[in-house]
Amino acid sequence: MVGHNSRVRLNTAHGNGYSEPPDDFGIGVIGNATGNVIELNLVTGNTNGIYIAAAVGQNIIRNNTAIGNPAIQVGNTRPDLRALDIVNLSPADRTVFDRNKCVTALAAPCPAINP
Amino acid sequence: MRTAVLATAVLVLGAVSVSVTTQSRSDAVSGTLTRTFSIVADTEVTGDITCAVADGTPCLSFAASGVELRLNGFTITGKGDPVTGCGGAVTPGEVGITTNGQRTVVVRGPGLIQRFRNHGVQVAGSDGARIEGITVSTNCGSGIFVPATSFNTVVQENTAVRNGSSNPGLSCGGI
Repeated sequence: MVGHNSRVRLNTAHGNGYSEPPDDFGIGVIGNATGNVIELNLVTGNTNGIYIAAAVGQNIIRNNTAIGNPAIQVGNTRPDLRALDIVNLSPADRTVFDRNKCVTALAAPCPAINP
Repeated sequence: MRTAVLATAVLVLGAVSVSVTTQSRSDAVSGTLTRTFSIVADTEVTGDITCAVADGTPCLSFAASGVELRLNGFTITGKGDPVTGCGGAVTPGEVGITTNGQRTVVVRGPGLIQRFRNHGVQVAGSDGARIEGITVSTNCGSGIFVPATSFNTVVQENTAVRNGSSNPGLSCGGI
């Protein structure tokens, strides 16, 4: 997703991406993508779950469930990959995160997972 | 007076007839495609599609704005490897469906788009496109890709499985 002012919602993304190199994803906000809303998606078992690249503009990531990215064996045996449920490489004020469920993340909140 | 009323009635009926004809117009596509299918009207997929188009060209391409492609539960299969989706490097331009710069077009599932040596669906240069209810699997790029040339796209209720490429510098995946 590099486009602008788009809605990506209610999708499921499972098992997408290669781990070499580890920049693939279930849902990606990449390039200079701006004004997008990523919401209510289920993202599991991908290299990275939700991946926000460094040069994007303002986007909103809310109410998504991103868990199990990558699979536990990959995460434990290859920690150097730095693949996570949510990877946010954008500047601190660019991306709004709200009520996402995740276990591992870089520069994004992961509130406690309720059973 | 009676003649005038009759003439008016004929004109009205004619207008209605033309209107109905226009609204019911739709195309159909299925089978093996050896060249890109241009979508110029609402189009129904009426059977599985195997894409044998030239390397580096799309399988289906919108050629009109405001029209809809309905997959009706069928599968569209490209030339990629059944395991990796790639069969070598990513092949530029070889996507399953491209919106091709058309406005407010729709790709509607259910239906499967698989094994393209680039993206499954590419929303290219379009405003207001809608991709809804499809499954994209084993494509050598992203399952659904919305590049920087597109605006106001809705990507909703789709399933993306096993898409991606190991090519360095190509960050891709499900959506």
